[in-house]
Amino acid sequence: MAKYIFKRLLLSIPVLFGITLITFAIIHITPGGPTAIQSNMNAKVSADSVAKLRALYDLDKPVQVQYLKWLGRMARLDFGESFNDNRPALDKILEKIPNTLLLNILSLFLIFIIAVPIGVYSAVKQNSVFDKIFSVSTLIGYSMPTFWLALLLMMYFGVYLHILPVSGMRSQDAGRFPLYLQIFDRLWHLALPVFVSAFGGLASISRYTRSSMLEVIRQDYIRTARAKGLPESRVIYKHALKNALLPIVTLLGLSLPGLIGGGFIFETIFSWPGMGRLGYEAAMNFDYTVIMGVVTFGAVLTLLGNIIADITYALVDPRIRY
Amino acid sequence: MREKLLNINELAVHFKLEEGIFKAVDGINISVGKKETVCLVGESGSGKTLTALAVMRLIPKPGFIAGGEVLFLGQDLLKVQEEQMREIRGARVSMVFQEPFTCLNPVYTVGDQIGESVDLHIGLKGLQKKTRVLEVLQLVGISDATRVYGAYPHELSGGMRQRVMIAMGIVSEPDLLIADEPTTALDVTIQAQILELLAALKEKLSLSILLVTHDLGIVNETGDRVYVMYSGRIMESGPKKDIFSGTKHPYTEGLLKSVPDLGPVKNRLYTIPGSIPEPLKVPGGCRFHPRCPYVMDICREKEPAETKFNGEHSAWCFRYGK
Repeated sequence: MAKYIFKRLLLSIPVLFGITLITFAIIHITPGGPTAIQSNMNAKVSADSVAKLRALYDLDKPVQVQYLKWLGRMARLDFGESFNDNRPALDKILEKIPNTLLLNILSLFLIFIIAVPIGVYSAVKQNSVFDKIFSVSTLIGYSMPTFWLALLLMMYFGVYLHILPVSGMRSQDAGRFPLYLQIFDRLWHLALPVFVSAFGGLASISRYTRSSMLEVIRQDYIRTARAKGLPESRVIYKHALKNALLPIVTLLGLSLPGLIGGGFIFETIFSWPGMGRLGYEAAMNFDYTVIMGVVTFGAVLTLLGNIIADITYALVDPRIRY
Repeated sequence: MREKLLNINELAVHFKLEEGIFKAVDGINISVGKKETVCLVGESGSGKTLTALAVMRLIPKPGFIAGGEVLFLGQDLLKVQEEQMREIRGARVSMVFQEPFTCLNPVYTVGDQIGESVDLHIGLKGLQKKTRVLEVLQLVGISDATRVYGAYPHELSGGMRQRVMIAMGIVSEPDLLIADEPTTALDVTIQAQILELLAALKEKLSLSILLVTHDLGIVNETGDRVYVMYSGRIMESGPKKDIFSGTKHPYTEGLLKSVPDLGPVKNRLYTIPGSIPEPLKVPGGCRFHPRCPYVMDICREKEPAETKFNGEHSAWCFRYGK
């Protein structure tokens, strides 16, 4: 097992290089640059000072040299400074992570505790009215763009009904509230984003559970369990469920990058101060160091998530050993 | 005649298909005496397995038991409540299935799976449960019972797994063991061992066995009485020696001729011409008539009635009158 993990980690390195190289290239191919906003629009800035700025950020050097310099800094875990406010990119990323984590862990938790039972029930009662309603509604849930749903709900609950805040993660004067009210205030701000971010996942995880369960309840060992004289509930919840959940457990590992990486569009819509919004703003401002930092974080987490998924699979399924 | 343990009377299992009703088992009578091994023989698709599953009331959908009775010690199993049936299933009547590779739950250990029956039907827990499981593993000829107890099904060979299945079937000392092609998936040496085991268990535990098979070699080795089934009907029944040496029905004759001989190959192996009727295309009259070498006009018009020969030997064929 340890050998397997080591091998996987080693194999991740070239993939990581590839991801950063491609991202770096794309960023530099995109027209415009970090100096454009500070200078091009401003008539008072002379060509001379633009050149100085470019030299400051190494932008006057060839792209490959810039990439190698970046790699050199990364090797020392130096993410560089934001072009925008000169703060270390790593600090900016690290301070956003808890916000994104809070939002995503809640929504992931919600997804699994709701989606799995619904999926199981729907499979057990296959072709029932419930199952049919389920199939249609998950299809809708799966196909509905989250940003659109987010906007609709913001309009309804925030603008018409005035019962939920439409953006941010705390009220302006929340700092002066007693602790319990601060917690309540946080949950109040979380309601819409958590619901919307859970919505799409709910549909896909429950559909996944349903099809996995349907496959399992047709297996011979389920008949064996019935032939033993076990009550149907034990057959389903002991013998079938554990098998049906095996592939779902993997999904947990795979959702790790999203858990920390956050959704770019999603967080921007809700003005949620997380990783996603940080990445989005950095991209809009050509804040190269922050973009690269966010992407590198995302890439590492994705690769790590894949490895964790494989490891959890081996832990829960006795047939898989590395 | 020995005292009867199981009496299947006019059992019918139908399948509701889109194009109509398929009568997979069409009114059959079978009896199993105490400490008797009864073989149910026929080609694939003749309804043997369904007959066995009907006794357990485990007919898969869209099949259903359309009529008849299954008297087990005088009690009609088709009439008892589901809850009561669960107390019989796996406790008084057990079933061993064809595919030991897929019939054991891959994510639970052997100890868990047999222990579950011990808990359910004998009510033993903890150490007593484990002792009982180890005992029964030894009883089915597993010498390293402790290792097998903690093993997962995929860690065992096919023969071992079938022994585990049998252990699971006999752990609550049932009256009747239904074995559905228990050796079909195994190679010949293992097959012989499993058959020997079944014979030994029958003596030790005063078991009655209903053995479903397509292999006349197995019938010859283990059976006391034989039922020959074809397309949902019994064609011939009687004590083994009458079936083998006083064959009456052309179908039985065909089956016996199709058994390969050991020794130098003389001719091409005999096969019964044609194949078993497809669902919904069961011919009128005697259902074997399209494949029968002795077919007469009456065979196409009417279904033959039972003709009794000496003792318990019967055949359903117009060659013997009715």
